[in-house]
Amino acid sequence: MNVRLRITRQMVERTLDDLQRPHDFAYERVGFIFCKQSEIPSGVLLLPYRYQALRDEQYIADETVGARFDSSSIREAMQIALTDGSSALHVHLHDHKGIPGFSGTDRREMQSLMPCFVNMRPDRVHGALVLSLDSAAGLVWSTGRADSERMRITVIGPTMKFFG
Amino acid sequence: MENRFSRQSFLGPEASSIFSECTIGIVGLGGGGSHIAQQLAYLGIGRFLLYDSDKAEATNMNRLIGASFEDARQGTRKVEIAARSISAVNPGARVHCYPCVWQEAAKTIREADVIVSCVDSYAARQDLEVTARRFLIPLVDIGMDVFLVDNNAHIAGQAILSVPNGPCMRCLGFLNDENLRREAEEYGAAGGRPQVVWSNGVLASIAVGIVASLLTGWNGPLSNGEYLHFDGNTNKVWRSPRLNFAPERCSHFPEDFVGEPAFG
Repeated sequence: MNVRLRITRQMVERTLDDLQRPHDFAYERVGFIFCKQSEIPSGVLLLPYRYQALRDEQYIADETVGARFDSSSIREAMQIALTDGSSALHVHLHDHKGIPGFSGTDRREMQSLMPCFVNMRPDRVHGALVLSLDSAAGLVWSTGRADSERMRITVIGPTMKFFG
Repeated sequence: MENRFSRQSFLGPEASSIFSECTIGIVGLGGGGSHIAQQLAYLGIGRFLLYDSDKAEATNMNRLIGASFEDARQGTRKVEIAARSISAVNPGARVHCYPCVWQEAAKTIREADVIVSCVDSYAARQDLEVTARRFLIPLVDIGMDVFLVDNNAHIAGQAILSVPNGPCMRCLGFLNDENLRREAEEYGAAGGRPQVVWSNGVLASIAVGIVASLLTGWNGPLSNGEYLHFDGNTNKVWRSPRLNFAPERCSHFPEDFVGEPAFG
């Protein structure tokens, strides 16, 4: 499936601002970006309209991963996706420049998180986004499939950026 | 041997691949759009979506780039003339022709990375900008008209860049209820509008320059929108002072104004 994400520069900047804030004990922050989903002849178009940061108290101390979050954060994200009929993208930051990649831990954690969203809204595309300081990469978890596909990302602004 | 894009290498090392992977939608393939299609083909754009329901006729032959006398005689569709111009320059370009109003192929235009609007009414501009905003697509709009002032002809035109989240054509004062109301009242009475090839060409070239900047950022990032005036009598182009008063973020299209139109 061809999945394209168009995201405004302002939303990327707002997301980066949040993800770069230090946390008392978590090594990194995470959040969710919610998108309206539209059909295009070549596949699916995702159009972000809301960034949801996790609250400080929703992180769980776990030194084996950069960030672990509690069930309330997942429930809240699922509720937004359900109520709005939207696609949910888990988002985190790799704090460097250049094209980021999903680590083995990222993929493993997403394999357990994404089915929550896929089971709830199987008619929507859900996935994960990893930002670097100047680039981005995305993966999609398709309905009924545990494997993932890449998405093409366009950052919309006075200078457009294309990734993936 | 130098490749065909070596003279535009200053646009950046990735410019050629960006252009070749890019999809540009052009709405209106008349005097302005036909110039733009050809220039974007020279630039190296790889995929085109062309929308126009009109056929060539004799009155187009003062400005329709790529049209032949035979096209006017046979009534060749304008999208086909533009597609022919593009393919002549870049045989590898993928060109999708929609010989209809763009709304009849509305899902297809969502594929565009940039839309260039060469329509001839305020209402058509408004419709196109609403869709561009819904699907987060930058829109470049051009238009010109000839006005009679004290019995002297004055050519005036504009080129506008409308970037999602930036000022829209209403924020810039170009679209407003008064313009739309007047246009609706005069609907059907305007007849054929005066058009000339050189002012179409100036505005089309400006639009192509804006597209190149948008895609590559070669001249530094543009501001979050653009509004240029063109005086065809003096051949001057200048930045609209309205940009100074436009809000940085558009209030007419909030951030959650995306996706399919829906009730409730």
